[in-house]
Amino acid sequence: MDGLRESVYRRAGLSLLFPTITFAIFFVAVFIASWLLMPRLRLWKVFIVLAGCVFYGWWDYRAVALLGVVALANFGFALAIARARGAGPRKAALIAALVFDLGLLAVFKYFDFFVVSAANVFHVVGLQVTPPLIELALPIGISFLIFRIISYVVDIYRGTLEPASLLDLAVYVAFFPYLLAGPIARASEFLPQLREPRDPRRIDASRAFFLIFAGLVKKMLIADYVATHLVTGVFTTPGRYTSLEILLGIYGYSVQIYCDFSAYSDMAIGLSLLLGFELPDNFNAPYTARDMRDFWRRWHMTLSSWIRDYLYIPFGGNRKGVRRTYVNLMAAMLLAGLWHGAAWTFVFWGGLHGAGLCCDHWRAARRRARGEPALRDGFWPVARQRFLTFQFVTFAWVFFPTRSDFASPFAVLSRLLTAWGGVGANVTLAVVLVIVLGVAIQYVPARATGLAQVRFSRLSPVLQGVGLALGFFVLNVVGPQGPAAFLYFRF
Amino acid sequence: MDERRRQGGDDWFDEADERTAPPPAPATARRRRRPAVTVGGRRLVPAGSVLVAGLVGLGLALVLNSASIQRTAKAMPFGLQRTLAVTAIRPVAGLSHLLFLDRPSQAALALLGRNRPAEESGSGLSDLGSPTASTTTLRTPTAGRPLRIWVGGDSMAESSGAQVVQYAQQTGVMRATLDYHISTGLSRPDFFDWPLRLAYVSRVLQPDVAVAFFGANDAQAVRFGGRVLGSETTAWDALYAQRVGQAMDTLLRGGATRVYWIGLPIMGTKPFSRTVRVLNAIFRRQAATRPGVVYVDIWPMFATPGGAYSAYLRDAHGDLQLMRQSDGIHMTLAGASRLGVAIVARIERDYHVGGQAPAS
Repeated sequence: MDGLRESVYRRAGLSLLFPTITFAIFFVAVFIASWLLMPRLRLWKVFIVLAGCVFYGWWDYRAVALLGVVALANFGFALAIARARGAGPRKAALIAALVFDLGLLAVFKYFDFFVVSAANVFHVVGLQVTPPLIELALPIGISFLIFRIISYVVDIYRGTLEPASLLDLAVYVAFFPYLLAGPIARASEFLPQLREPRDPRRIDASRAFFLIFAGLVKKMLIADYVATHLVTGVFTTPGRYTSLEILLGIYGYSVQIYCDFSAYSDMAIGLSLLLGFELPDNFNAPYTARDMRDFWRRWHMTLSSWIRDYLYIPFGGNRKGVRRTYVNLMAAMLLAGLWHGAAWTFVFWGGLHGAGLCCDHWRAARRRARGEPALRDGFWPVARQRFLTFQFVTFAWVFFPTRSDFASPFAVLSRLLTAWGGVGANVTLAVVLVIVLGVAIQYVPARATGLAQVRFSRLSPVLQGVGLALGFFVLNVVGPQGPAAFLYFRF
Repeated sequence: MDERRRQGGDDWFDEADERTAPPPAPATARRRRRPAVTVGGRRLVPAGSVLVAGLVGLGLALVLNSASIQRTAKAMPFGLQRTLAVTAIRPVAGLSHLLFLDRPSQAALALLGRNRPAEESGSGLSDLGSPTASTTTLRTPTAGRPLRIWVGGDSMAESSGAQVVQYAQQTGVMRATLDYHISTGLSRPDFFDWPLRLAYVSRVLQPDVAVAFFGANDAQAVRFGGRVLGSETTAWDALYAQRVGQAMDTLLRGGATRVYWIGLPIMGTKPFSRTVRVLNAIFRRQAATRPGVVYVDIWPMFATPGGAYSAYLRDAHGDLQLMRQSDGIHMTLAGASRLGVAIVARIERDYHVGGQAPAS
C-alpha cells in the first residue's frame, strides 16, 4: 500500500512541492512561528531545523536521517580540520571528509551506474557477470546537499571560514527553501547570516513576492505546458512526430528546462527573503548569452562558480599553460555532466559544453592576441553570437532528458532529419507562442522588473494581497490541474 | 580561495566574476550601519505587513478558486487528510457561492473549456448493446484498412502506451491513439470517470483493438453504497472485480475484437508487489470469463531470472539497462520500449500481421 499511496500522492502533486496548497499552509505556519521565535535565536534555529526535517521527511521520512548524518559527520570533520596541527593532519581530515561526503553520493547515485557499466563492458568481451546492485532510492536533492557541505569543509581547510556550531551547521544543512534543488548557497554565504537575529521590521517582501510569482508562472504556465503538449512525447516517442514537431520539441525542452529550474530557484530565493535570508542568484537570462563562457556565467550560477572554485582552480585552472587550461576545462565540465546524473548521456552533454568552452576560450585568446576585444560588439554581431550560442545550448540539451542510453537522443536527431513533409498536429499557435515567451522573458530589461517591484512595494499590504490573489486566480484558471515535479529534483 | 582568485588570472570564465568577491555582509549588519528602509528603491516592510499581504492574497485566492479546490480535495484518497481538507474547504466554498465569488472562476474555466465532464458525448452504458463474444476470426489488417487501436489507462500508459502507439504505427497497418490520465483508475470514478470515458471510446471511437493499462493507483479505499471500503477487504475485491469486468464489457460492446488488458509488473517494494499480485489475479479472472479479452502478464518480463525485482534488467542484446524509474513503479524509456515491443508483437501475432515489431 505504501507504494500505491506514494504513486497517487506523487502524481497528484500532494507531496510538499512549492506550488501546492499544502506547502502554502506549511509556509504560512513556518513564517509566523519563525518571526515569533526570531528574537530567541537559539530556539529559532532548533525550530527551522525541525521545519526542514518535516519538509524533507514529507517526501520520505527515512531521508531525514541523511540530513542528520551529513550534519553530524561534517561537524566532526570541520573540527578535526580546524584543530589539526600541521598541514598533514589537516589534509588528512579534509580527505576523510571528502571521501565520506562523496562516498555518500557515490553509494546513493553512482554505484549501480558504474557497476552496470562495468558489467556491460565485460559483456562486450564475452563475459556475462551478474553485478551486485544496491538499488537504493535516490534522496531528492542529494547532489545539492553534498556540494553545499563540501563548500563548508573545504572553506574551513582553506582558512576562509570558521567551524560552525552543530546547531548552525544543522540549520545550513536543513534550511528547507534550498533543500531540494538549490541554489547551492555556500556556507560562507549562509552561515554569517545566522550570527544575529534577522530584522523583522525590514523584509524585502516586494522582491520576494515577485520572485515567487515569477517562479509560479514559469513553472505552471510555460514549463509544464510545453512538457505536456509536446516535449514529453517528442523525447519518448519521436517516431510519432514530424521533423517540424521534433524541432519545436527540442526548442520546447530548452525553454522547459530553463523555466522549470529557474522557477524553483526564484521561489527558493523569494521564500528565503520572506524568512529574512538572502540566497545567491542562480540564473541571469542565460539564453541571452553571447558565447559559452557567458552562458556559464548566467546558467546555474551557483553550480558553475562551485565547479570553478572547487574543481577547476584546484585542477590548476589556467595557471599551467594553454593546453592544461583546456584539459582542466574539459575535466571540470565532464564532471559537471556526471553531477547531473548517473548516465553517459550526461557525461557526453558535459563534454559538449566543455568543448564549447574550449572553442570560445581559444577564439577569445586569438582575438585578444590581435588586440581586439574577446567578442565583437555591435547589434548584428551580438545578435549572431546570441543566436548561435542559443542553438548550441539547445541542441546539447537533446542528450539531457532521456538519461539512460544514446539510442533515444540519436533517434530524436535522426527523426529531425528524416521526417520532413508535413507540419504535424502538435505544431499549434499556443505551443509556438509559449516557447517564444519562454525565450522572450529573458530579454525583459532588469530595470523594468525592478521598477515594477518598487511600485508594488509602495502599495498597502491589503492591495498587495489583492494583487497576489488575482495572480493566483489566473494561475488556477489557466495553469495545469496539478503540479509536476521539478526536473532538477532528480539531480 | 578568495586570495588565490585575487592573485592569478585563474578565473573560470577568463574575466572578473561578481561571485569572486567575498560574501556580502549579513543584511542585518549592513542595515545597522546604514539604517535605510529601502533596497534598490523597494520599501522594506515589517513581518506583520508581509503576513497581512500573504493572508489576504491566499485567503482571497482560496475564496475565488474554492470550487476547483473543493473538487481537488474531494479527489484525494480517502483518509484523514482528505477529511480535513474537505471539511476545511466546505464553508469557504459555501461562502464563495453565496457571495457569487465563485462565478468568475467558473466563467473563466467554461470559457477555456476546462470545466466539462470527463467526456461530454458519453451517454452511459445502457444503450450500447451486449458485449461481443469475440470468437470470430480476426481480420488481417492492411495499409488500406488498418487496425484501429485505442491505448489508454493511468500513468503506466503514459510511457508504455506511447511506445505501443509508436511501434504500432511503424507496422504501417495499425493506427493507434493514446488516451491516458495520470493518477486515475477504476477505483475512483469521482476523481476521473473512466466508465464514462470508456463508454465514449466504445460508442464514438469504436476501436478494433483496445489496450488497457489500469491498476497502479487503484488499491485505495472507495466509497460505495454510503460506506468507505478499505482496499484489503473482500468487499473491495468484489467491487473492484465488478468494475474491471464492466470496463472490459464496455470496450467489447463497441466492437473491439480484442481487448488486451495489461497486468501490472513486479514493483520495487514487497508490500506493493503483494498488492499488485491481488490486482493481477482479479484482472486474470475477469479476462478468463470474456473470450474477447486477453490478459497480458508482464510480471515475468520485469523480474530477474530468480523472480525478484530489479530496476536493471538485460535487454535483447544481453546488456543491463535501467528499466524502472526510481519510484520502483513506472517504466523508464527502455522499460516502456520493451513492453511496447512485446504488446505490438502480440497484436501482430494475433492478427496475422506479416511484419515484425522492432527489436528491443
